[in-house]
Amino acid sequence: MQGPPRELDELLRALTRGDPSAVSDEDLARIEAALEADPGLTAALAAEPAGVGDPLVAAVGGTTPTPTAEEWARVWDNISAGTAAAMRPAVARRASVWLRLRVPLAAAAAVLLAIGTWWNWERRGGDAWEIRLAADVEIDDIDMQDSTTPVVIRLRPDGPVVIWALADMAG
Amino acid sequence: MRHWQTGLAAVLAMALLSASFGQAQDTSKRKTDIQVLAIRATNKNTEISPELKEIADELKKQFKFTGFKLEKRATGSAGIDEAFKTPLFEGWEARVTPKENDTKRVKLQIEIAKGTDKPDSATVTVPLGKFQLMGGQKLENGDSLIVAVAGR
Repeated sequence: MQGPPRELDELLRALTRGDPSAVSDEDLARIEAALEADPGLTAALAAEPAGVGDPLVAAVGGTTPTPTAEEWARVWDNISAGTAAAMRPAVARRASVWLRLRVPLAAAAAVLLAIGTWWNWERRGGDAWEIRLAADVEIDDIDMQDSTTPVVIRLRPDGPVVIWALADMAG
Repeated sequence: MRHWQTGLAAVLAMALLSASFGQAQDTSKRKTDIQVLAIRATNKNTEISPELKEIADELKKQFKFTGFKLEKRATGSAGIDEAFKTPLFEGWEARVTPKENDTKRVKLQIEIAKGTDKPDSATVTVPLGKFQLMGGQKLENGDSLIVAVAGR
């Protein structure tokens, strides 16, 4: 067998190279018709060495060394380690979150307790009692000994009052 | 992730703050701090204890007393309807019972008694921390007892 015609041969080589620009639809139709007409051509085509695909890749592959076995092993180890970290159990991830939160939460709690303590302290006026008489007084009840008469004495208008046990003068 | 952490911290902060203020606002459980001043009012001298200057100035407007001596100052606390008892002097005793206590005013029952005698009692509502005067009980040398009571 002589082999495929030169023109068809060039088309076939363009196909195996993966160069789409070299083969038009019309050419593809011609190649299909040729393959159908001549079974020996199919066998010859199969015997041809496979192309290297994209011409750019082919060009780069010619200048860039392929990784060694050790390099491939290191790459796969790194991928495995990253996958393991991503696959960490949900419980471990939540625990890590709480560990990171403990310091700011403790600080916030301490600040709030200090504020609450200060507020209560201020409200109570601390330890000091300033001696000031009450002016706005409501007297709900007075009950004194039978020998005394209760008297409410206002010290000044709209001012403080004194609840006084006035001793009976009789007897 | 950061947003929910911040939110959680804010929620916890508000809860703690609310608890702190809530305890102060719960009138059914809060304790009332009480102070009792036992005063000897006399017209035998003109000595006035420094702490009693304002009281003395007020009392002189209505009474003929010239001297006011702070014989005792007692501080304590009591819950609602619980009595704070303190001895005064010359056998007199004061009992102060908080009846109500909100954030602004306090109702106090003030009792002054000697021995087993029936106490002189008055129930008043006053602003927190302000003193109410009650007195007139006769002391051994003719002086008069005045008790000043405050709660907060």
